[in-house]
Amino acid sequence: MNKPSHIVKSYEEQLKLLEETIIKMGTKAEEQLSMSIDAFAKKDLELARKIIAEDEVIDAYENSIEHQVVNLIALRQPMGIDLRETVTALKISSDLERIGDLSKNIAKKTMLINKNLSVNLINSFNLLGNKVKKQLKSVIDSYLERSKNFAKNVWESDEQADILTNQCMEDVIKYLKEDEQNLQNGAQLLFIAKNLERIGDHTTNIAEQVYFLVTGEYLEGDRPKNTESEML
Amino acid sequence: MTSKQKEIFLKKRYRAENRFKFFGIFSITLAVSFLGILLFNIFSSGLSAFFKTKILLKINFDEKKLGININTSEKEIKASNFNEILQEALLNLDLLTPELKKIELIDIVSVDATYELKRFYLKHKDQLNKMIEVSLTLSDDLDQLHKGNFPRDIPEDRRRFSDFQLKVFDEQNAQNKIITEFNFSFFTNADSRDPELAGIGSSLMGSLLTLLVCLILSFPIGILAAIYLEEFAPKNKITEIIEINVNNLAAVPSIVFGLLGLGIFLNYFYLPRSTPLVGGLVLALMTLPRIIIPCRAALKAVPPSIREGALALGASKVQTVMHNVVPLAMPGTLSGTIIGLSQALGETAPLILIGMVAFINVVPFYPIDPSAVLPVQVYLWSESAERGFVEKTSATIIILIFFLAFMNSFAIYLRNKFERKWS
Amino acid sequence: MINEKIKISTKNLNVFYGSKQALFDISINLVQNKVTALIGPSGCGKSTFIRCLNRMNDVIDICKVEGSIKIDGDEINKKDLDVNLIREKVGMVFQKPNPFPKSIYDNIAYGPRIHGLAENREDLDNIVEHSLKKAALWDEVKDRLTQPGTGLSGGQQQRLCIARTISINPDVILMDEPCSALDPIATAKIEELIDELKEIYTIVIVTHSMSQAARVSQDTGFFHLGKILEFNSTEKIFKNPDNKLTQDYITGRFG
Repeated sequence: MNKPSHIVKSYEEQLKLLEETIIKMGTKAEEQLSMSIDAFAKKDLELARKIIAEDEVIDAYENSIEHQVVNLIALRQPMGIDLRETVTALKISSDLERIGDLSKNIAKKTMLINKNLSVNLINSFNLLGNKVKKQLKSVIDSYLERSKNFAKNVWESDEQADILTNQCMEDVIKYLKEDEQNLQNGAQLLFIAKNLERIGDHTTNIAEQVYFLVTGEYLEGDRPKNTESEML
Repeated sequence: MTSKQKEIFLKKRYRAENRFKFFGIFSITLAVSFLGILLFNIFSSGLSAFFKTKILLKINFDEKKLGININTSEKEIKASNFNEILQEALLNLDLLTPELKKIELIDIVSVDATYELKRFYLKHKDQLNKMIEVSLTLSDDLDQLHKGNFPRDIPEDRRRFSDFQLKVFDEQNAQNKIITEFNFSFFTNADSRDPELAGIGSSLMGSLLTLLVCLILSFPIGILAAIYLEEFAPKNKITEIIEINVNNLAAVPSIVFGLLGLGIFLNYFYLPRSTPLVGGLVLALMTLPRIIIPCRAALKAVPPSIREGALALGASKVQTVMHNVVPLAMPGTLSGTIIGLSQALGETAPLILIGMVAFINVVPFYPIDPSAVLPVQVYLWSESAERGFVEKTSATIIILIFFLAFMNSFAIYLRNKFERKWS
Repeated sequence: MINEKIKISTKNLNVFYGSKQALFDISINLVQNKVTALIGPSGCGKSTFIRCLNRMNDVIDICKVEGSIKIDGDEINKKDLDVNLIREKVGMVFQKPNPFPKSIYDNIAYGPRIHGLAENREDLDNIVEHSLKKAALWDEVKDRLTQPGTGLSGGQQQRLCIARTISINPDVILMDEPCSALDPIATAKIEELIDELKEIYTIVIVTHSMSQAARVSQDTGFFHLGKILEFNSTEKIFKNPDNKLTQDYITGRFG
């Protein structure tokens, strides 16, 4: 969106800094998610530990954004587009922080899995993981480019993530039925699947925010959802 | 710029500032000292006029010589002759007076002394056939001598009193028979050829009456004209011309107004000559623009928000102006008016032209009585030859200055009072 | 909303100062019992517009107003209509507090007096008290009604002016930047007052403060170069204006 810059330069700079922080935070969350999927697939405990440690970075970003937003509201009283920018930044950052937490959780659960898993199962999780990862990347791109269509696409395509989650769940249940010994690992797998699904939900939240940011209107109507996953 | 240059630059600035300050103070000192010299000069020569010198004379109110008795009516007393007992008392001052010098002896008192005696007797009828000491006004020459305004060591033929009069005066002075009294008659008497009798009563009353006529005419007319011009008149060529002419009128030399008065009021309307009525008319003409201009300025200074406030309440134009604008403009208008009047008070030239320069020896009471005015009185007396008029001139100036100062202070007081109240 | 009654309606309103056109085809509706804020850069015609609504522009010789202004459906932009009657119905509060050079009491009593609204002294006392109470000034001045109105503080003076406007019981109150000369506390008091007064009156306020417009008004109009670019609910204007210039103006990106 092409808009003239503010008369007050420092205001303009503060808004730009806020936007940059969101993008950095988004990129970091994306990275964490991607690493957690890798760590799971390759059972890389080292990587998992790294993910857990680096969650602090995301928390720091969230703090920074919250701080900036409060300052902007207190000192600049933003209006119109600036107001939407400020308010959505706060909400997006909290979604990203949740994504970071969920990635950390995946890493933790990965560390608790003590047996090698079947390729089939890992593939099923990879499919879901990559789908969610792609959604997160798209939604951050939509924020970067202020594209309401991008955002809407993400919002709508979350249905696929739900379908993949269901697939995953079914595979895990199969795995559980195979052997009673699998109970512990199976529980962790269920958590991981659920976490990935939640990350997908957070990307749709962000997509809604981006849509509001760009248009000033709320994405309305029911999001296409696979209801089965809700039951679990 | 280096710090060194900056320092030099700063010093230069301060020098310039100090120079300016010095010139300012110098100018003020100069102005104040001129004023001081003027005031000192006037006060030193004028203050003595507020006192007069009198001689205490033993008078014998002999009913035979006066030709009256205890039952004589006031009217008859006024018609009777007190000269004889006065001359008798005067001659008693020096029993050895040669016949030729007797006239000089009689001349040491004012020509008014016989009337003073008469006035004294009317108040003290019980003194008939008694001997009593009465204070009588000395002649102006001896009065001046006593006040030290006239040197005694110049040759006899160059002064207005003789050696013999001087000798008698000194003898009486040695016996404490010469006294000084506050000169009430200066304020109550009209003009006179004899300086010791001349007073500003006529010109003071004349000035007051003239100003009254002037105020009654110029104040309402001036204010109404100003209000109309400022608030109601459409802005077009005609009002512009009127405006320019009002401003020009304020700058017209006052003598022109005198000529106008002479031509119109005296020669056309046959109004009584040398009266406060005509003087007031002429001064009103002169004062009008001087009231209109400050009144308009005061109206212009009223913030437009006041007008808008009243109009927005649904007040009509006249209501807006009369209820809200004019009261705010009043202090400025009043002080402008008073300053205009004080200028009128000091005006001489136009009044001379309408005949107020005449010698008036009665105190006027109505605007149609002939009268003098203070500044013209100054002009008249400054032309007189007698020594006694010098101090009277200065004394009249003191009165005039006092009046002007009073009026101007009143103007300032009004301005301050109302401004404090409403802004 | 239902029950929205249009109080003032202008149609193709054009205003000229001499040969210079100050307003171009202004057609808006102002809703009864609502506060309408007019915003826009200096010289955009906001003040000119509200001065049309009580015919204050009549004072200016070279000002010519064309088009229709209807209050309660009655045309007021007619030569033969007495402006004093319009101004009795449409009160105005100005940028600078402008109390009259009179006592507090007489400031309020002035309007009722010239319009003959009070039959006796008691009536007048009631009007004064009522107006001052409505303007939230009564408690502060009730003990000094005889003192000059100019002795009050700026904020009190402005509330006095509002009380003066209320005193003749108008339908509409126009406010031309009523808080621009006041401190924030005084401003807040006036804003609170505006909020209360809208229950009874229809209020039009011109303001340079975006946040004030956002705080006090329900509808906002954005003027630019004599045209009204956007007229919408205040919420809409400040959250997501339709017009790009409005957006730029409210966010401080103008020019």
